[in-house]
Amino acid sequence: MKCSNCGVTVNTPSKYCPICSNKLKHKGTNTIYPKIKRKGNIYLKSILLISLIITLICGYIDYEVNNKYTFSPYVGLALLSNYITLFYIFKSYKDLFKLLGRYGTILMLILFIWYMYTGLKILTNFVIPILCIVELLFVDIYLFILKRKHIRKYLGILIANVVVSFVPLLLIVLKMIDFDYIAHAAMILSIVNILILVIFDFSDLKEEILMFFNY
Amino acid sequence: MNFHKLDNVGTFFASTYFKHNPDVFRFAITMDELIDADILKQALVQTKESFPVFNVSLKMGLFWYYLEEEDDVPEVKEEHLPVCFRIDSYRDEVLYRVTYYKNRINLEVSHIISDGRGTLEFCTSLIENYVSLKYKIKVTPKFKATVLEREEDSYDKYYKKCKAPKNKTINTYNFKGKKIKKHNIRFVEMHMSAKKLLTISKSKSVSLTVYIVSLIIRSILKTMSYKDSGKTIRIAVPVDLRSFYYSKTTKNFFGLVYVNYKFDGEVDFIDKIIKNVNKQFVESIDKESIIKRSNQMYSLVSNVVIRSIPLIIKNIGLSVIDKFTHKLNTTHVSNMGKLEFSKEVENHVKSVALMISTEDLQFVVSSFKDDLCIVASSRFMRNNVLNYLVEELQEENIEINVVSNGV
Repeated sequence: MKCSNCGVTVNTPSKYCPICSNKLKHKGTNTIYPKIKRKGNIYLKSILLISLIITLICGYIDYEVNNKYTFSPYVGLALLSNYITLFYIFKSYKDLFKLLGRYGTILMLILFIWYMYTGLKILTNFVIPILCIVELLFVDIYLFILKRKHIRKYLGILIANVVVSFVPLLLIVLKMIDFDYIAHAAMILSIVNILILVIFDFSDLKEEILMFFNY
Repeated sequence: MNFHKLDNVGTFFASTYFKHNPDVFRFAITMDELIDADILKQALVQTKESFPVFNVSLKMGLFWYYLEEEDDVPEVKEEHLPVCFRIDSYRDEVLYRVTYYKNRINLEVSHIISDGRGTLEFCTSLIENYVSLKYKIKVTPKFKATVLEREEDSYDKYYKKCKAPKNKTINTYNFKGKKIKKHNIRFVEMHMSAKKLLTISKSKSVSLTVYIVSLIIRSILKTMSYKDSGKTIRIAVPVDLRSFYYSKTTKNFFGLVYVNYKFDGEVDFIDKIIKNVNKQFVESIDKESIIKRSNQMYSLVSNVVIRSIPLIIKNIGLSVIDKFTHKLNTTHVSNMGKLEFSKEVENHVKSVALMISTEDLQFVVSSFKDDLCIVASSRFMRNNVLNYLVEELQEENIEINVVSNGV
């Protein structure tokens, strides 16, 4: 179809000429491009909006009732961690294992911020070390037992988890922990993992570390 | 599992990959029959063997990104995403994607792993394998190179310490206007006779690139207002460094040539613009000055202090540099030249179009047989540059067929 304004032969699924924006008499039939438009992620945006509204309402009630912020920051942090998780699920739905690996690290960071804000020892004594152990055991079972063949592909995640499991040790050094048995358990599990990797997968481990520190 | 270091251009593209429309280009090949998805998948598996450097995912190291070879090729799907949609390690396993729609095969590649010329080899090989499998014929490969030659980092190979050229600060003209919502890009393919355009450029004693760049400059001049007097239109033209240095790499290996044209409040005649542009091309297309700029980037990437900065911080720095340097150019015009396939394949190919994602307005020129295709990618809702470009071409009695993605 010819555009009556600029005179070019147009083949477009749109109502307007892509050259001069003149309204075309007929919409063209396009056999080259399917009609696809980039969509904004309406679900994520809605979740973000709802989370913010809930946080605001909680903050308002909290301050009105208690005259200070007591529970509302926790609600905000919980909703934040929830949003980050969903954000990653929407983005990297292809590999659930990688997603959980990343989520564990993010959760750890959020918990640490939570501790810094509240000084709640239950977080450093129990929650953070237990999370480290659970996450590392999950990765171990998945990689060493179920997906032994794919260990090379996921080695980065395993190393990251091993490193993260030393965080409770750092907390002991910084005197942020009173009850240190679980933290020691996390550290021992990390060391066992390192030994397994050094003995059974040394070349892969070396290659991964060299590439990570690719200087 | 193999690892690859990124070349210096790839490093830069990887670090600036968080923007909405990172650099992704598309080779769209229209065949004479409907595409068979299963055969296309088989062809891709065959092609991957000769181009392992394409079948890679992007990994984050402590200091730099690196590429990791993947075993499996990506799924070949019917086109379901916007043209040149971002390719990232979250959604996609590797840094390229193959889709099809009716008669068209689309190969989209992230600039992190390759440039236009490198991707042309991959694309040609894919189409050759597809034709060979579909019609059960033997196809002589157009490009011959070993895997090692294709993996070579030619920037590294030809790096020579030299003084960087001094860049004059100029007041560059940038396009203005309301942008299309949700970061969508409008792609407009303008098909015309290659022979006719070549005859015109020959009659003016200039190359096709010089002629097209001049037409684009004149079209931009027509859109400028009197307030823009004194501003300079700066067009970046990528130049394939393989034509200066012996290299068969499919990784990035290109340099940039800049064409400046100052607006003095009046739209100059085309002959005056052509003369000016041609003079700049003759002066700047020489091996030494192009490689000097590339070396400048290489020195930056290999600098000990920069190397020691953690990647997260480098990403922020490079994104800022990208935003700043982006404003230094008005637009980019890439001419991929004449595309050719082996005889057995050429009979089955109807047309070829090359396009690239953008944040403003950008042009890619290519030709196949007698079909010259200028693809303009634009983020602007309305922009008169294309209108004036068509006007310029029509004044030379060139008939234009336009296809767009309908954005």
